[in-house]
Amino acid sequence: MSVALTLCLGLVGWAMELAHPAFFAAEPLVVWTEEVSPPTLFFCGNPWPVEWRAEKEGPRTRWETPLAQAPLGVWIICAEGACAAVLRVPNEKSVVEISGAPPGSTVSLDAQETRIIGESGKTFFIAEPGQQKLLFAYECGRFEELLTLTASQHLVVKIGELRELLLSSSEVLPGARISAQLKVRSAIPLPYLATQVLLPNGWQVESQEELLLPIPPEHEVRRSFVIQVPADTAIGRYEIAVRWHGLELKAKVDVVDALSPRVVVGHWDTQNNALNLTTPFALTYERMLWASCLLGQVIPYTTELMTPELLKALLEEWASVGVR
Amino acid sequence: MCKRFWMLGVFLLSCGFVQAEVIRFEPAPQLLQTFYVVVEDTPAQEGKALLLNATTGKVWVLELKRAGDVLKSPALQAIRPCDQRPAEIMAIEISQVGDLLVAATELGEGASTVAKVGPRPGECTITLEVQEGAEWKPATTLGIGKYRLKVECPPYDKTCEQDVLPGGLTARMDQTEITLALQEADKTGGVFFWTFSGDFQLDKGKQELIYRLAWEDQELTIPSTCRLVFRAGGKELMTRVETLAVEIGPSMAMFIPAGCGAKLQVLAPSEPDEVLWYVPGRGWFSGYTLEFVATDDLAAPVPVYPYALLVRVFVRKGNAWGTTQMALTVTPRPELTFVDAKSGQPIKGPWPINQSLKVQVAGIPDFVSEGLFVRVGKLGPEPMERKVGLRRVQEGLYESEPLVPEAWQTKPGDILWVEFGVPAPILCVVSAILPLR
Repeated sequence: MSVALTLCLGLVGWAMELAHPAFFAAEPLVVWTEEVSPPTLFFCGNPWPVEWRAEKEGPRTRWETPLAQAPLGVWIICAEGACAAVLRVPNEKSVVEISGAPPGSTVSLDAQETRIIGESGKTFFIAEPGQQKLLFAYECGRFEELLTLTASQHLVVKIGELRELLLSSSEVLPGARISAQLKVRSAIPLPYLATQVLLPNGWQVESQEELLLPIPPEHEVRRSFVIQVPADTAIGRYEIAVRWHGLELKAKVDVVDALSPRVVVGHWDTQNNALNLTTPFALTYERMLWASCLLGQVIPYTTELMTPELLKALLEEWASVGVR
Repeated sequence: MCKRFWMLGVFLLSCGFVQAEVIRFEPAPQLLQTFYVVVEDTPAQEGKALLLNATTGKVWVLELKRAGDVLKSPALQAIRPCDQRPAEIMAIEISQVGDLLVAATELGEGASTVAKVGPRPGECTITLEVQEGAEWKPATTLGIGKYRLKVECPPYDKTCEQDVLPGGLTARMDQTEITLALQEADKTGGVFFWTFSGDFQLDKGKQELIYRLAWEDQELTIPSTCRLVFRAGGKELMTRVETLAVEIGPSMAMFIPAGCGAKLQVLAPSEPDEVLWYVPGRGWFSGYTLEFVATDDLAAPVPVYPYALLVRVFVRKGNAWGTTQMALTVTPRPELTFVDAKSGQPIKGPWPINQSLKVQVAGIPDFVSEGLFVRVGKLGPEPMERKVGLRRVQEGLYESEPLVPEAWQTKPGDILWVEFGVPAPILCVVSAILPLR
């Protein structure tokens, strides 16, 4: 099992994301929100005015405040109508954060404190620095790990990691199918990948046999499944999410009435002379040969002609990624 | 001196040793006081008496006249060369207090009497004065400025020189006593002065506000809280150092749980120029307020509760200083415990979300027993924080009503938190968490 030191464990699936479930007195309180209005802090039921340092990070805003002289204990942070409670702990302690653990499993530290893992797949311990034994038990077995803790350290133990969600195509036609590929890693052997796929209304998961395959420990594995887009799906951008042990990954796909030429060429099944959006996008020799035959014609599933300029651009991309 | 006694002998022989008449001074002669020479038990209607200053040898002839049952001389007054000669009173010149006067008469079988000129009557007084501009005005306390002790002692004005105050001026404070030799201010006043200047010094080593009295090339330092007692001529004057009246809040004595903080501040005087705090074991801090946290390092070697601390504050406004202290009693830190609502046993390990529990708070000083509550919530999103009242179980121990974690929409794996805020003015919150299953 790998133990990673990181500061990027978040409380996901919430309008507000906290850097840690517990933070040290010497470190700033960090929170991300989707809005630009600053969060509000409360301590012991009273507002605690602070100055926030804001930094735009993509669609979200990262807020940071030092809280240098503030007391330890339970802090409540509110933003965008939602609140969360976090602990502020002494610098002399360590915080062990568990993530990606199967719900229902138990984890204990130094055989003293025990936690039951809930749907979030997360828990944490406030521990004394030094060597402490982490005992993890779940339905398929148990294992131990000796942790070396230092003061003011966030030690993140990732039982499971949801590393990547990759859709086979960024565009899809109503009624078509695309595939999704998950990259996961687990510190413990698992009998199958018990994921929860969140799809738009009417969309369905097909061919999910791969998800039922065992997950070996300590290896990054890829598991794919196919998504059927209903024929009556309106044109627009849709979100697909996968949750696993409290972790979540999202991907977006555009439902279009006409595909872009590049997507069609990159997914063309030259053997069956048909479009297959479930296969991974790739520009190959066969596909480029097929594309060159379309010169002057309307490209299927698009509204565009294959012009010399378009073909040249595709050929240049094919050449740049390596001729296949 | 021999010549004077020879003359006295001749005089006394001439008057005869056996006498029926009685001659006396009435009253006993004192410097600058009226007295008479009186002859009793004589049938004569008038006569003469001789008055001799045996110290100087000077002789006065006194006309005696009948006044009732006695013959009486004119009014007499003993004066020194430096004294103003009295009007309408016969001046009897003396060199100084203590001169020997001899009165004799040849009436009847003759009679004589002797008396030493006593000092002026009166008692000593001691007053404190402060210089305001060019004037000295009465003062009752000491502060920053120029002061003088005025010892007015007419009996000690004996000579025409500047007399020395017998026994000097004694200043006594705490366990220190000094004696100052004072000389009469003038030749005739019987007034003695000790002039000094006073100011404040802060002795950081002793954590004391010191009052310094400086005169000539000497100085005396005393704790500003001491009283000074001046003694001279059998009289005493008690005075004290007037310091700034300092008041600190929230109160002059506080109970503070270990690990908790309190914000101490100067309430008076308003807008001080300098404020210095001394915390035993921590040292000096400056600032209008002091945020004090009672950590166990203040109690060596091991804290035994309760233990007391004296925090001193020194405040300066302008040149004036003042000081006061606050007594802090450090009590054990309140402890939060989750207990099984049925058995009352402390909960260890994850607790079922659908079973009731109570929150117990131990170690609450009784003076903060009114309206106590804890806040209970869930860690992470949607904490659903809510107040839960506490009721007293026994001295220092309070507990909540039964709580069911599900009421906080908890799920297995969630963590319940509880916090207890010690009521103001103590700045302290204790908290605990409980994992759920």
